[in-house]
Amino acid sequence: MAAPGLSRVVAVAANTFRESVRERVLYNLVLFAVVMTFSSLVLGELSIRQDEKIVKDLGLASIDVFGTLIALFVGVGLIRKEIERRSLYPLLCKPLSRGEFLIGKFLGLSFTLLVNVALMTLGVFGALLLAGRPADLHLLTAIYAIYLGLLLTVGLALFFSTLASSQLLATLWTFSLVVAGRFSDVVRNMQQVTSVPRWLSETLYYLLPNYRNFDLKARAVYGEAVSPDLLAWITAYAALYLSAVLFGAHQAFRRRELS
Amino acid sequence: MRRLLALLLVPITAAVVYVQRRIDAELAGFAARERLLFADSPDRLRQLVPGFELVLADIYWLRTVQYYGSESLFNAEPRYDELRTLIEITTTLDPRLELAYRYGAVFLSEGFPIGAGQPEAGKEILEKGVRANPDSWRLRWDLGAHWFFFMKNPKQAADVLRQARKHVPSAPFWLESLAARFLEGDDRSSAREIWRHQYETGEGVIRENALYNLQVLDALDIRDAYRAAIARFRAAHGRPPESLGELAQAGYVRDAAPRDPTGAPFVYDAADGRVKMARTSRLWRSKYE
Repeated sequence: MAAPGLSRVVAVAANTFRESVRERVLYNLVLFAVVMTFSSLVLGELSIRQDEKIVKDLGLASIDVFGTLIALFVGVGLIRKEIERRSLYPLLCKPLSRGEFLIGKFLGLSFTLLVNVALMTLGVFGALLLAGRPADLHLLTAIYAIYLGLLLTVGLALFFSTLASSQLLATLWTFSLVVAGRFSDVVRNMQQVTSVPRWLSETLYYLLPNYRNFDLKARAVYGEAVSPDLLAWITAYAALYLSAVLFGAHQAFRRRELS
Repeated sequence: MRRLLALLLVPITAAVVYVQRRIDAELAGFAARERLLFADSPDRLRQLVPGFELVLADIYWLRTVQYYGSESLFNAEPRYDELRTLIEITTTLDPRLELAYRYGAVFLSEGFPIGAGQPEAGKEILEKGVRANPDSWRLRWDLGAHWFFFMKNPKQAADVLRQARKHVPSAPFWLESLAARFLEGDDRSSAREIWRHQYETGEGVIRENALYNLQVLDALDIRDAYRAAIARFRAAHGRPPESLGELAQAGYVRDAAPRDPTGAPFVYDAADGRVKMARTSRLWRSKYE
Protein backbone atom coordinates (compact mmCIF):
# COMPACT_ATOMS: atom_id res chain seq x y z
CA MET A 1 0.00 0.00 0.00
CA ALA A 2 1.38 3.38 -1.04
CA ALA A 3 2.39 5.91 1.60
CA PRO A 4 -0.26 8.63 2.11
CA GLY A 5 2.20 11.35 0.98
CA LEU A 6 2.90 9.47 -2.23
CA SER A 7 -0.75 8.89 -3.00
CA ARG A 8 -1.42 12.62 -2.53
CA VAL A 9 1.40 13.45 -4.95
CA VAL A 10 0.01 10.94 -7.46
CA ALA A 11 -3.45 12.45 -7.10
CA VAL A 12 -2.12 15.96 -7.86
CA ALA A 13 -0.06 14.57 -10.77
CA ALA A 14 -3.08 12.78 -12.23
CA ASN A 15 -5.17 15.89 -11.87
CA THR A 16 -2.47 18.02 -13.50
CA PHE A 17 -2.24 15.58 -16.39
CA ARG A 18 -6.02 15.68 -16.88
CA GLU A 19 -5.97 19.45 -16.70
CA SER A 20 -3.07 19.94 -19.10
CA VAL A 21 -4.49 17.63 -21.76
CA ARG A 22 -7.49 19.96 -21.84
CA GLU A 23 -5.24 22.86 -22.86
CA ARG A 24 -5.97 23.79 -26.45
CA VAL A 25 -2.47 25.18 -26.93
CA LEU A 26 -1.09 21.71 -26.26
CA TYR A 27 -3.00 20.15 -29.13
CA ASN A 28 -2.02 22.99 -31.43
CA LEU A 29 1.65 22.56 -30.62
CA VAL A 30 1.65 18.77 -31.00
CA LEU A 31 -0.32 19.02 -34.23
CA PHE A 32 2.08 21.64 -35.54
CA ALA A 33 5.07 19.45 -34.63
CA VAL A 34 3.57 16.47 -36.47
CA VAL A 35 2.73 18.66 -39.49
CA MET A 36 6.31 19.98 -39.47
CA THR A 37 7.63 16.43 -39.38
CA PHE A 38 5.49 15.35 -42.30
CA SER A 39 6.38 18.48 -44.25
CA SER A 40 9.94 17.17 -44.20
CA LEU A 41 8.75 14.54 -46.70
CA VAL A 42 8.13 17.31 -49.22
CA LEU A 43 11.40 19.07 -48.38
CA GLY A 44 13.26 15.77 -48.72
CA GLU A 45 11.98 15.47 -52.28
CA LEU A 46 13.59 18.80 -53.12
CA SER A 47 17.01 17.75 -51.85
CA ILE A 48 19.39 15.32 -53.49
CA ARG A 49 19.08 11.97 -51.70
CA GLN A 50 18.72 13.63 -48.32
CA ASP A 51 15.08 12.77 -47.64
CA GLU A 52 15.81 10.42 -44.73
CA LYS A 53 18.19 12.83 -43.04
CA ILE A 54 15.80 15.76 -43.46
CA VAL A 55 12.92 13.76 -41.94
CA LYS A 56 15.12 12.86 -38.96
CA ASP A 57 16.60 16.35 -38.52
CA LEU A 58 13.29 18.13 -38.77
CA GLY A 59 11.51 15.52 -36.65
CA LEU A 60 14.00 15.76 -33.79
CA ALA A 61 14.12 19.56 -34.00
CA SER A 62 10.31 19.68 -33.88
CA ILE A 63 10.21 17.48 -30.77
CA ASP A 64 12.82 19.73 -29.16
CA VAL A 65 11.23 23.07 -30.08
CA PHE A 66 7.59 22.19 -29.51
CA GLY A 67 8.36 20.17 -26.41
CA THR A 68 10.18 23.21 -25.01
CA LEU A 69 7.23 25.47 -25.85
CA ILE A 70 4.83 23.09 -24.09
CA ALA A 71 7.13 22.77 -21.06
CA LEU A 72 7.58 26.52 -20.91
CA PHE A 73 4.05 27.81 -21.40
CA VAL A 74 2.17 25.05 -19.62
CA GLY A 75 4.83 24.81 -16.89
CA VAL A 76 4.80 28.52 -16.07
CA GLY A 77 1.02 28.54 -15.81
CA LEU A 78 0.70 25.46 -13.60
CA ILE A 79 0.86 27.14 -10.22
CA ARG A 80 -0.05 30.66 -11.25
CA LYS A 81 -3.40 29.49 -12.60
CA GLU A 82 -4.19 27.72 -9.34
CA ILE A 83 -3.41 30.93 -7.47
CA GLU A 84 -5.31 33.20 -9.86
CA ARG A 85 -8.36 30.91 -9.91
CA ARG A 86 -8.05 30.61 -6.13
CA SER A 87 -8.34 26.86 -6.48
CA LEU A 88 -5.08 26.44 -4.59
CA TYR A 89 -6.47 27.54 -1.23
CA PRO A 90 -8.97 24.74 -0.65
CA LEU A 91 -6.32 22.28 -1.81
CA LEU A 92 -3.80 23.47 0.72
CA CYS A 93 -6.40 23.33 3.48
CA LYS A 94 -6.48 19.58 2.92
CA PRO A 95 -3.72 17.41 4.32
CA LEU A 96 -1.48 18.31 1.38
CA SER A 97 1.84 20.07 1.86
CA ARG A 98 3.10 22.67 -0.58
CA GLY A 99 6.03 20.37 -1.39
CA GLU A 100 3.69 17.51 -2.29
CA PHE A 101 1.60 19.87 -4.40
CA LEU A 102 4.69 21.11 -6.25
CA ILE A 103 6.08 17.64 -6.92
CA GLY A 104 2.67 16.46 -8.04
CA LYS A 105 2.42 19.34 -10.47
CA PHE A 106 5.89 18.57 -11.81
CA LEU A 107 5.15 14.87 -12.25
CA GLY A 108 1.82 15.59 -13.90
CA LEU A 109 3.32 17.85 -16.52
CA SER A 110 6.27 15.49 -16.98
CA PHE A 111 3.82 12.72 -17.81
CA THR A 112 1.94 15.01 -20.18
CA LEU A 113 5.22 15.77 -21.90
CA LEU A 114 6.08 12.08 -22.06
CA VAL A 115 2.80 11.36 -23.85
CA ASN A 116 3.34 14.28 -26.22
CA VAL A 117 6.93 13.34 -26.98
CA ALA A 118 5.76 9.77 -27.62
CA LEU A 119 3.13 11.08 -30.07
CA MET A 120 5.69 13.24 -31.84
CA THR A 121 8.11 10.28 -31.97
CA LEU A 122 5.40 8.18 -33.62
CA GLY A 123 5.01 11.04 -36.09
CA VAL A 124 8.73 10.92 -36.95
CA PHE A 125 8.70 7.15 -37.39
CA GLY A 126 5.50 7.43 -39.45
CA ALA A 127 7.14 10.01 -41.71
CA LEU A 128 10.18 7.75 -42.10
CA LEU A 129 7.97 4.81 -43.05
CA LEU A 130 6.12 6.99 -45.57
CA ALA A 131 9.49 7.92 -47.05
CA GLY A 132 10.19 4.19 -47.38
CA ARG A 133 12.88 4.27 -44.70
CA PRO A 134 13.20 2.04 -41.67
CA ALA A 135 12.37 3.32 -38.18
CA ASP A 136 15.85 4.12 -36.92
CA LEU A 137 16.04 3.21 -33.22
CA HIS A 138 19.14 5.38 -32.77
CA LEU A 139 16.73 8.31 -32.73
CA LEU A 140 15.37 7.12 -29.40
CA THR A 141 18.60 8.05 -27.60
CA ALA A 142 18.36 11.61 -28.92
CA ILE A 143 14.67 11.76 -27.99
CA TYR A 144 15.44 10.49 -24.50
CA ALA A 145 18.04 13.25 -24.08
CA ILE A 146 15.58 15.84 -25.41
CA TYR A 147 13.01 14.62 -22.87
CA LEU A 148 15.50 15.07 -20.05
CA GLY A 149 16.08 18.64 -21.22
CA LEU A 150 12.32 19.21 -21.27
CA LEU A 151 12.03 18.00 -17.68
CA LEU A 152 14.66 20.56 -16.75
CA THR A 153 12.63 23.25 -18.51
CA VAL A 154 9.51 22.22 -16.57
CA GLY A 155 11.53 22.46 -13.34
CA LEU A 156 12.79 25.93 -14.23
CA ALA A 157 9.30 27.04 -15.25
CA LEU A 158 7.91 25.88 -11.91
CA PHE A 159 10.75 27.57 -10.05
CA PHE A 160 10.22 30.93 -11.72
CA SER A 161 6.44 30.70 -11.52
CA THR A 162 6.73 30.41 -7.74
CA LEU A 163 9.21 33.29 -7.64
CA ALA A 164 8.01 35.85 -10.18
CA SER A 165 5.22 38.31 -9.57
CA SER A 166 3.69 37.81 -13.01
CA GLN A 167 3.36 35.03 -15.54
CA LEU A 168 5.05 37.13 -18.21
CA LEU A 169 8.08 37.64 -16.02
CA ALA A 170 8.26 33.93 -15.16
CA THR A 171 8.03 33.07 -18.86
CA LEU A 172 10.77 35.54 -19.76
CA TRP A 173 13.11 34.32 -17.02
CA THR A 174 12.61 30.68 -17.93
CA PHE A 175 12.99 31.36 -21.63
CA SER A 176 16.18 33.37 -21.04
CA LEU A 177 17.70 30.63 -18.96
CA VAL A 178 16.79 27.92 -21.49
CA VAL A 179 18.35 29.98 -24.31
CA ALA A 180 21.44 30.81 -22.21
CA GLY A 181 21.80 27.13 -21.38
CA ARG A 182 21.87 26.29 -25.06
CA PHE A 183 24.80 28.68 -25.46
CA SER A 184 26.73 27.18 -22.57
CA ASP A 185 29.84 26.53 -24.68
CA VAL A 186 29.85 30.18 -25.79
CA VAL A 187 29.59 31.22 -22.14
CA ARG A 188 32.53 29.05 -21.24
CA ASN A 189 34.70 30.46 -24.04
CA MET A 190 33.71 34.04 -23.28
CA GLN A 191 37.03 34.92 -21.68
CA GLN A 192 38.81 34.15 -24.96
CA VAL A 193 37.10 36.94 -26.86
CA THR A 194 36.08 39.39 -24.12
CA SER A 195 37.64 40.79 -20.97
CA VAL A 196 35.33 38.69 -18.78
CA PRO A 197 37.49 37.03 -16.10
CA ARG A 198 37.91 33.31 -16.40
CA TRP A 199 36.39 32.59 -12.98
CA LEU A 200 33.20 34.38 -13.98
CA SER A 201 32.75 32.54 -17.25
CA GLU A 202 33.53 29.23 -15.53
CA THR A 203 31.04 29.97 -12.72
CA LEU A 204 28.35 30.91 -15.21
CA TYR A 205 29.11 27.81 -17.23
CA TYR A 206 28.51 25.49 -14.28
CA LEU A 207 25.62 27.51 -12.89
CA LEU A 208 23.55 27.69 -16.05
CA PRO A 209 21.62 24.58 -17.08
CA ASN A 210 23.79 23.02 -19.78
CA TYR A 211 21.32 22.15 -22.51
CA ARG A 212 24.17 21.17 -24.82
CA ASN A 213 24.36 17.96 -22.78
CA PHE A 214 20.95 16.98 -24.06
CA ASP A 215 21.77 17.46 -27.73
CA LEU A 216 22.52 14.02 -29.15
CA LYS A 217 20.71 14.75 -32.40
CA ALA A 218 23.77 14.67 -34.69
CA ARG A 219 24.93 11.34 -33.27
CA ALA A 220 21.48 9.82 -33.61
CA VAL A 221 20.93 11.05 -37.16
CA TYR A 222 24.28 9.63 -38.29
CA GLY A 223 23.56 6.32 -36.55
CA GLU A 224 26.38 6.70 -34.06
CA ALA A 225 25.91 4.64 -30.92
CA VAL A 226 25.81 6.60 -27.66
CA SER A 227 27.63 4.90 -24.83
CA PRO A 228 25.56 3.84 -21.81
CA ASP A 229 28.04 5.78 -19.68
CA LEU A 230 27.24 9.02 -21.43
CA LEU A 231 23.50 8.40 -21.12
CA ALA A 232 23.99 7.67 -17.42
CA TRP A 233 25.95 10.90 -16.92
CA ILE A 234 23.35 12.95 -18.77
CA THR A 235 20.61 11.37 -16.67
CA ALA A 236 22.56 12.06 -13.48
CA TYR A 237 23.11 15.69 -14.52
CA ALA A 238 19.39 16.16 -15.22
CA ALA A 239 18.43 14.51 -11.93
CA LEU A 240 20.86 16.62 -9.90
CA TYR A 241 20.06 19.92 -11.56
CA LEU A 242 16.36 19.16 -11.40
CA SER A 243 16.46 18.31 -7.71
CA ALA A 244 18.26 21.60 -7.03
CA VAL A 245 15.73 23.57 -9.05
CA LEU A 246 12.75 21.81 -7.48
CA PHE A 247 14.24 22.36 -4.05
CA GLY A 248 14.59 26.08 -4.87
CA ALA A 249 11.02 26.11 -6.15
CA HIS A 250 9.83 24.43 -2.99
CA GLN A 251 11.62 26.97 -0.80
CA ALA A 252 10.22 29.88 -2.78
CA PHE A 253 6.72 28.38 -2.78
CA ARG A 254 6.89 27.60 0.94
CA ARG A 255 7.71 31.21 1.79
CA ARG A 256 5.26 32.67 -0.61
CA GLU A 257 2.42 34.64 0.91
CA LEU A 258 -0.83 33.48 -0.63
CA SER A 259 -3.38 36.19 -0.25
CA MET B 1 -23.61 39.59 -45.69
CA ARG B 2 -21.57 36.48 -45.02
CA ARG B 3 -21.85 35.46 -48.69
CA LEU B 4 -20.73 38.91 -49.74
CA LEU B 5 -17.67 38.67 -47.51
CA ALA B 6 -16.90 35.22 -48.89
CA LEU B 7 -17.18 36.57 -52.43
CA LEU B 8 -14.90 39.45 -51.52
CA LEU B 9 -12.21 36.95 -50.52
CA VAL B 10 -11.62 35.96 -54.14
CA PRO B 11 -10.67 39.43 -55.46
CA ILE B 12 -8.76 40.16 -52.26
CA THR B 13 -6.71 36.96 -52.68
CA ALA B 14 -6.07 37.79 -56.32
CA ALA B 15 -5.06 41.32 -55.35
CA VAL B 16 -2.65 40.01 -52.73
CA VAL B 17 -1.05 37.71 -55.31
CA TYR B 18 -0.80 40.59 -57.78
CA VAL B 19 0.71 42.99 -55.25
CA GLN B 20 3.18 40.34 -54.07
CA ARG B 21 4.29 39.77 -57.64
CA ARG B 22 4.85 43.48 -58.10
CA ILE B 23 6.88 43.61 -54.92
CA ASP B 24 8.92 40.56 -56.02
CA ALA B 25 9.57 42.20 -59.38
CA GLU B 26 10.70 45.39 -57.67
CA LEU B 27 13.01 43.49 -55.35
CA ALA B 28 14.34 41.06 -57.97
CA GLY B 29 18.09 41.03 -57.86
CA PHE B 30 18.23 43.70 -55.18
CA ALA B 31 17.39 41.47 -52.24
CA ALA B 32 18.33 38.15 -53.82
CA ARG B 33 21.64 37.81 -52.07
CA GLU B 34 20.22 38.85 -48.73
CA ARG B 35 17.40 36.34 -48.93
CA LEU B 36 19.70 33.59 -50.02
CA LEU B 37 22.39 33.77 -47.44
CA PHE B 38 21.02 35.50 -44.31
CA ALA B 39 24.55 35.49 -42.99
CA ASP B 40 27.74 34.80 -44.89
CA SER B 41 29.88 33.77 -41.96
CA PRO B 42 29.41 30.01 -41.52
CA ASP B 43 30.97 29.88 -38.05
CA ARG B 44 28.90 32.76 -36.74
CA LEU B 45 25.75 31.19 -38.11
CA ARG B 46 26.62 27.90 -36.41
CA GLN B 47 26.95 29.66 -33.07
CA LEU B 48 23.55 31.26 -33.49
CA VAL B 49 21.59 28.00 -33.54
CA PRO B 50 22.96 25.68 -30.85
CA GLY B 51 21.19 22.34 -31.05
CA PHE B 52 19.61 23.10 -34.41
CA GLU B 53 22.67 23.09 -36.67
CA LEU B 54 21.53 20.00 -38.58
CA VAL B 55 18.15 21.46 -39.51
CA LEU B 56 19.76 24.70 -40.64
CA ALA B 57 22.32 22.69 -42.63
CA ASP B 58 19.41 20.92 -44.37
CA ILE B 59 17.82 24.26 -45.17
CA TYR B 60 21.07 25.59 -46.58
CA TRP B 61 21.60 22.41 -48.57
CA LEU B 62 18.13 22.77 -50.09
CA ARG B 63 18.99 26.37 -50.91
CA THR B 64 22.26 25.26 -52.50
CA VAL B 65 20.53 22.67 -54.69
CA GLN B 66 17.80 25.13 -55.68
CA TYR B 67 20.30 27.90 -56.36
CA TYR B 68 22.50 25.66 -58.50
CA GLY B 69 19.47 24.17 -60.29
CA SER B 70 17.84 27.52 -61.00
CA GLU B 71 21.07 29.06 -62.27
CA SER B 72 22.21 26.13 -64.42
CA LEU B 73 18.82 25.17 -65.83
CA PHE B 74 16.71 28.30 -65.97
CA ASN B 75 19.10 31.20 -66.23
CA ALA B 76 20.33 32.06 -69.72
CA GLU B 77 23.35 33.74 -68.17
CA PRO B 78 23.99 31.75 -65.01
CA ARG B 79 25.85 33.30 -62.10
CA TYR B 80 27.24 31.17 -59.33
CA ASP B 81 28.46 33.99 -57.07
CA GLU B 82 26.91 32.56 -53.90
CA LEU B 83 27.48 28.88 -54.57
CA ARG B 84 30.75 28.57 -52.67
CA THR B 85 29.39 30.42 -49.63
CA LEU B 86 26.24 28.30 -49.56
CA ILE B 87 28.30 25.10 -49.62
CA GLU B 88 30.66 26.46 -46.96
CA ILE B 89 27.73 27.32 -44.69
CA THR B 90 26.08 23.93 -45.21
CA THR B 91 29.26 21.98 -44.46
CA THR B 92 30.16 24.14 -41.47
CA LEU B 93 26.72 23.64 -39.96
CA ASP B 94 26.89 19.90 -40.56
CA PRO B 95 30.51 18.83 -41.13
CA ARG B 96 29.42 15.21 -41.61
CA LEU B 97 27.10 15.89 -44.53
CA GLU B 98 29.27 14.08 -47.09
CA LEU B 99 26.93 14.65 -49.99
CA ALA B 100 27.27 18.40 -49.62
CA TYR B 101 31.03 18.14 -50.15
CA ARG B 102 30.73 15.65 -53.00
CA TYR B 103 27.95 17.34 -54.97
CA GLY B 104 29.14 20.79 -53.95
CA ALA B 105 32.57 20.10 -55.45
CA VAL B 106 30.95 18.92 -58.69
CA PHE B 107 28.68 22.00 -58.87
CA LEU B 108 31.68 24.26 -58.33
CA SER B 109 34.14 22.49 -60.61
CA GLU B 110 32.16 21.61 -63.73
CA GLY B 111 32.98 23.93 -66.59
CA PHE B 112 30.88 27.06 -67.03
CA PRO B 113 27.91 27.26 -67.74
CA ILE B 114 27.05 23.76 -66.44
CA GLY B 115 28.98 24.49 -63.25
CA ALA B 116 30.77 27.45 -61.74
CA GLY B 117 34.05 26.56 -63.46
CA GLN B 118 35.99 26.85 -60.18
CA PRO B 119 37.91 23.57 -59.79
CA GLU B 120 40.22 25.08 -57.17
CA ALA B 121 37.20 25.92 -54.99
CA GLY B 122 35.85 22.41 -55.55
CA LYS B 123 39.15 20.92 -54.43
CA GLU B 124 39.14 23.05 -51.27
CA ILE B 125 35.63 21.89 -50.42
CA LEU B 126 36.67 18.24 -50.80
CA GLU B 127 39.80 18.84 -48.72
CA LYS B 128 37.63 20.38 -46.02
CA GLY B 129 35.43 17.28 -46.18
CA VAL B 130 38.42 14.98 -45.79
CA ARG B 131 39.66 16.97 -42.78
CA ALA B 132 36.23 16.79 -41.15
CA ASN B 133 35.66 13.11 -42.05
CA PRO B 134 39.07 11.44 -42.10
CA ASP B 135 37.47 7.97 -42.08
CA SER B 136 35.45 8.52 -45.23
CA TRP B 137 37.15 6.79 -48.16
CA ARG B 138 34.49 8.14 -50.52
CA LEU B 139 35.53 11.72 -49.91
CA ARG B 140 39.19 10.84 -50.41
CA TRP B 141 38.24 8.96 -53.57
CA ASP B 142 36.34 11.99 -54.85
CA LEU B 143 39.32 14.19 -54.04
CA GLY B 144 41.62 11.86 -55.98
CA ALA B 145 39.24 11.87 -58.97
CA HIS B 146 39.08 15.66 -58.66
CA TRP B 147 42.86 15.97 -58.86
CA PHE B 148 42.81 13.75 -61.94
CA PHE B 149 39.96 15.31 -63.90
CA PHE B 150 39.81 18.93 -62.84
CA MET B 151 43.34 19.68 -61.69
CA LYS B 152 44.97 17.48 -64.39
CA ASN B 153 47.43 16.16 -61.87
CA PRO B 154 47.54 12.31 -61.97
CA LYS B 155 50.51 12.16 -59.58
CA GLN B 156 48.64 14.04 -56.84
CA ALA B 157 45.51 11.99 -57.62
CA ALA B 158 47.46 8.77 -57.12
CA ASP B 159 48.90 10.11 -53.89
CA VAL B 160 45.43 10.90 -52.49
CA LEU B 161 44.17 7.40 -53.34
CA ARG B 162 47.19 5.77 -51.71
CA GLN B 163 46.65 7.90 -48.59
CA ALA B 164 43.05 6.68 -48.54
CA ARG B 165 44.21 3.05 -48.60
CA LYS B 166 46.76 3.77 -45.91
CA HIS B 167 44.56 5.69 -43.46
CA VAL B 168 41.06 4.30 -43.98
CA PRO B 169 40.66 0.60 -43.17
CA SER B 170 37.38 0.36 -45.10
CA ALA B 171 38.88 1.81 -48.32
CA PRO B 172 38.45 -0.69 -51.20
CA PHE B 173 41.51 -2.47 -52.60
CA TRP B 174 41.04 -1.14 -56.14
CA LEU B 175 42.09 2.35 -55.07
CA GLU B 176 45.66 1.05 -55.04
CA SER B 177 45.53 -0.34 -58.60
CA LEU B 178 43.83 2.82 -59.82
CA ALA B 179 46.57 4.93 -58.27
CA ALA B 180 49.12 2.82 -60.18
CA ARG B 181 47.20 3.33 -63.42
CA PHE B 182 47.18 7.11 -62.90
CA LEU B 183 50.95 7.00 -62.85
CA GLU B 184 51.12 4.92 -66.07
CA GLY B 185 49.84 7.95 -67.96
CA ASP B 186 46.99 6.32 -69.94
CA ASP B 187 44.44 9.01 -69.26
CA ARG B 188 41.46 7.50 -71.02
CA SER B 189 41.91 4.11 -69.43
CA SER B 190 42.30 5.75 -66.00
CA ALA B 191 39.27 7.91 -66.62
CA ARG B 192 37.22 4.86 -67.61
CA GLU B 193 38.30 3.10 -64.45
CA ILE B 194 37.30 6.10 -62.30
CA TRP B 195 33.90 6.47 -63.90
CA ARG B 196 33.26 2.74 -63.73
CA HIS B 197 33.83 2.80 -59.96
CA GLN B 198 31.80 5.99 -59.62
CA TYR B 199 28.98 4.25 -61.48
CA GLU B 200 29.21 1.09 -59.38
CA THR B 201 29.50 2.79 -55.99
CA GLY B 202 27.63 6.06 -56.59
CA GLU B 203 23.95 6.89 -56.52
CA GLY B 204 21.65 9.51 -57.96
CA VAL B 205 23.25 12.37 -59.86
CA ILE B 206 26.76 11.02 -59.27
CA ARG B 207 25.80 7.70 -60.87
CA GLU B 208 24.06 9.46 -63.76
CA ASN B 209 27.12 11.65 -64.29
CA ALA B 210 29.37 8.56 -64.26
CA LEU B 211 27.15 6.85 -66.85
CA TYR B 212 27.29 9.95 -69.04
CA ASN B 213 31.09 10.04 -68.87
CA LEU B 214 31.38 6.31 -69.59
CA GLN B 215 29.23 6.81 -72.68
CA VAL B 216 31.41 9.74 -73.73
CA LEU B 217 34.51 7.57 -73.41
CA ASP B 218 32.88 4.83 -75.50
CA ALA B 219 31.90 7.41 -78.12
CA LEU B 220 35.44 8.79 -78.18
CA ASP B 221 36.80 5.26 -78.67
CA ILE B 222 34.48 4.70 -81.65
CA ARG B 223 35.33 8.11 -83.10
CA ASP B 224 39.07 7.49 -82.73
CA ALA B 225 38.77 4.03 -84.32
CA TYR B 226 37.09 5.60 -87.39
CA ARG B 227 39.64 8.39 -87.50
CA ALA B 228 42.44 5.81 -87.48
CA ALA B 229 40.69 3.85 -90.26
CA ILE B 230 40.33 7.04 -92.32
CA ALA B 231 44.04 7.76 -91.81
CA ARG B 232 44.85 4.29 -93.14
CA PHE B 233 42.50 4.79 -96.10
CA ARG B 234 44.12 8.15 -96.83
CA ALA B 235 47.60 6.59 -96.67
CA ALA B 236 46.54 3.85 -99.12
CA HIS B 237 44.52 5.98 -101.56
CA GLY B 238 46.05 9.41 -101.22
CA ARG B 239 42.65 10.95 -100.35
CA PRO B 240 40.03 10.65 -97.66
CA PRO B 241 36.96 8.46 -98.39
CA GLU B 242 33.96 10.24 -99.87
CA SER B 243 31.71 8.67 -97.28
CA LEU B 244 31.77 6.22 -94.44
CA GLY B 245 30.04 3.82 -96.85
CA GLU B 246 33.14 3.87 -99.06
CA LEU B 247 35.30 3.28 -95.97
CA ALA B 248 33.20 0.24 -95.06
CA GLN B 249 33.13 -1.06 -98.65
CA ALA B 250 36.91 -0.89 -98.74
CA GLY B 251 36.94 -3.08 -95.63
CA TYR B 252 38.49 -0.62 -93.19
CA VAL B 253 35.44 -0.66 -90.91
CA ARG B 254 32.39 -2.92 -90.64
CA ASP B 255 29.65 -0.37 -90.00
CA ALA B 256 28.96 2.38 -92.54
CA ALA B 257 26.65 4.26 -90.14
CA PRO B 258 28.22 4.18 -86.69
CA ARG B 259 26.24 5.47 -83.72
CA ASP B 260 27.32 6.63 -80.28
CA PRO B 261 26.00 4.85 -77.13
CA THR B 262 22.96 7.16 -77.04
CA GLY B 263 22.01 6.09 -80.57
CA ALA B 264 23.00 9.35 -82.27
CA PRO B 265 24.83 8.82 -85.60
CA PHE B 266 28.37 10.08 -86.02
CA VAL B 267 28.88 12.78 -88.63
CA TYR B 268 31.48 12.45 -91.37
CA ASP B 269 32.87 15.61 -92.91
CA ALA B 270 34.26 14.59 -96.31
CA ALA B 271 35.92 17.99 -96.75
CA ASP B 272 38.34 17.53 -93.89
CA GLY B 273 37.99 13.75 -93.65
CA ARG B 274 37.05 13.76 -89.96
CA VAL B 275 34.44 11.80 -88.04
CA LYS B 276 32.71 13.86 -85.34
CA MET B 277 30.03 13.41 -82.73
CA ALA B 278 26.68 14.74 -83.89
CA ARG B 279 25.77 18.06 -82.33
CA THR B 280 22.33 16.64 -81.68
CA SER B 281 23.84 13.94 -79.48
CA ARG B 282 23.37 14.27 -75.73
CA LEU B 283 27.08 13.50 -75.41
CA TRP B 284 28.32 16.31 -77.67
CA ARG B 285 30.59 19.00 -76.25
CA SER B 286 32.74 21.36 -78.31
CA LYS B 287 35.87 19.90 -76.73
CA TYR B 288 35.10 16.55 -78.40
CA GLU B 289 35.17 18.04 -81.91
